[in-house]
Amino acid sequence: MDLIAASPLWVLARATGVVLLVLLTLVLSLGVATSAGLRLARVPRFAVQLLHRDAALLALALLVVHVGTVVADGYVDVGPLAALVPFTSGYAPVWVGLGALALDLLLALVVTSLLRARLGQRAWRAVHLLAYATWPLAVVHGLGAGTDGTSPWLLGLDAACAALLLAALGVRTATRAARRAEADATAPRRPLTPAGAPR
Amino acid sequence: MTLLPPAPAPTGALLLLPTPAPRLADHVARLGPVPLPAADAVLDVVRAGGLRGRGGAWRSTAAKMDAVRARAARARAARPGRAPLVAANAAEGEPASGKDAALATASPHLVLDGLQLAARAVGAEHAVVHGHPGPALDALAAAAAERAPHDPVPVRLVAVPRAYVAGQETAVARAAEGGPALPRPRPRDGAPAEVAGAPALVLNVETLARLALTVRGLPAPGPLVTVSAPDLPPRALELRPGARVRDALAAADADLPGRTRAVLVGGYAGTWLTADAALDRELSPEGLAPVGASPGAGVLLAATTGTCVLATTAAVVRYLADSSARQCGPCWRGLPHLAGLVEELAAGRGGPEGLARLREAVGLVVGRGACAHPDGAASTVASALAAVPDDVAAHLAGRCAEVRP
Amino acid sequence: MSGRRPAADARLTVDWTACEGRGVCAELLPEVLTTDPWGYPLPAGPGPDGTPRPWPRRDGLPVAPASVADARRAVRMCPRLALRLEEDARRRA
Repeated sequence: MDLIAASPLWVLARATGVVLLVLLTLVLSLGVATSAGLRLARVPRFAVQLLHRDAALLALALLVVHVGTVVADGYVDVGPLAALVPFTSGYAPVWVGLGALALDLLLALVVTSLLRARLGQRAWRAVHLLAYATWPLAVVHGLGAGTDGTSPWLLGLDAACAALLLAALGVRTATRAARRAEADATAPRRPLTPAGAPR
Repeated sequence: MTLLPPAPAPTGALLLLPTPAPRLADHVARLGPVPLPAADAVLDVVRAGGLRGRGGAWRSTAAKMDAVRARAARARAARPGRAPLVAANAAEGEPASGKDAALATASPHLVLDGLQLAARAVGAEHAVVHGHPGPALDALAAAAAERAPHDPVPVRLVAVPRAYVAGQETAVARAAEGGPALPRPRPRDGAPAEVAGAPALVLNVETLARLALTVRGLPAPGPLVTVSAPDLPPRALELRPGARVRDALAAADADLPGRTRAVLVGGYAGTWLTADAALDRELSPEGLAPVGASPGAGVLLAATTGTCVLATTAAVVRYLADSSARQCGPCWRGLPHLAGLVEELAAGRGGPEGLARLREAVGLVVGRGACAHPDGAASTVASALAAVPDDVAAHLAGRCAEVRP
Repeated sequence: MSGRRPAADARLTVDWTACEGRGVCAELLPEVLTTDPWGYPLPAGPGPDGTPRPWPRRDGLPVAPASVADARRAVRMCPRLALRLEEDARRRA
């Protein structure tokens, strides 16, 4: 990690990238917790939802800084358009393209969420499932596009983030299975037998 | 369900349940052709006749027609060409009811006359007959085919599986769209059901038959009921006007009033009344209102001597729980919970604590569903607890006073 | 249509087919809502002799003016968009 040699903008781009990895993991994990209707210890559900929303908005703001610094730095050839349109970058078109794709998806997720009441639950949900594509895109982008991609500390962080996410998904699966078992327990015993009729 | 053949009414000719069922020519010869006056004229007659829905809710038919017309005007303004739908509702999911099947089988043309009149009243351009596969729907289908050349509004058949909630108004609308016959939420309680953005006028087959008689200027027939008891399969009866509960039971079986302890009035989603409270009441909303009941769809289920009211209630609530469309949480979770607690009480287990939990469980389901299915179960349980307090006390002590092993 | 009610009232209704009993509404509106044993919303406060207060199906649950802002938030934040707030009886007709 040769922080001194690089330009301050590039350092900022790398730093925001790492923070974004953690933040997006947090957003997705909180989203999984929300969709399972989980309460985290004594934190009320609405607080989990608000945290999910606010972390997502913060991620979007950081993403602007992340992209802005890369573009402004000029150290690598990534134009403003390449940051938004996938796979058009001069520098590492595939790695940067994955990041651009993740950015587009995140934008779609945020915009549809702000308009959820107007869109209706079904359309919103269909778009929101894209969150599960956004996270791996961002992670793979971080592995290939950056200075730190394959350094042990970042790989360790990637693994820790993946572990957190898997844990959240695991808890949700267990919650849903318990709910399904309860539904099965109250399912009608067929055939229905009318009451009060001659036996 | 086995349905006994309709019993002859004590007096007079049967207007709703003639035997044998007339073909179109006989029907016209007997009652004359159905007049099809202008929409407003139909509505005036309906209003003057005080016609009310016989599917169980007893809502004013004129008010329903007015609501559909108002909604249709708005739908047309938004998108021209959107005409309302009318539906003849022959779905009779209530196990203790058979009067709609009996009526549809005996008087299919009267029902279809009413359907054309209802279509006229609200300006509908298509109509459906909604019901379960079986003789009643077959009779309506045959009659509809016979008169198709004369009917101004085409009639389509919608056959749906037999289920308790399949006759609910929004379920009828949903089935007409090709969906499952299950209730769905309305924009507002009491608002007309909707089919593809246009309102639907859903009327019970008995309501339609009465409409066809009213427009012809014929006297209103007496109540149409279904009576059953533990040893008596459901029996559909047309009674004389002003008939009391006692008359209905006696018409089904002469000594039934004498051996009836309590009556579940209005069906599975009804109200338990003791024989003392019920027998001399007139079988009408006004007659039964003072004792907190309604005829509903004209269902009378008698609990006779030697029958445990609470055990019957438990079986009824279990049936209702099993009949939940499982769309609304408080219904699909609350009704099995409620049924379990009634079963505990009926079995003499649970004690006072179980009874307290039962009262709580009743409150948990009231008003909390897209349709009134949970409310019906709550009404049956609450009225049982109120009607037979001595039985409840005996069960709390661990024994049933009525049924001895 | 309903002249029996003051114009300025607000009523909460639930689409019970959509509600999954997450309980977010009761967290945000404790003065109006509580939850039943399964998490579905229930009117807050005791009902007749200790039993739950029945849900007013026809008119919806009244929301006091002081709670309307919270109610709007609950509507917005329902994970299933199952809540509706009718803020003015005159608009219901």
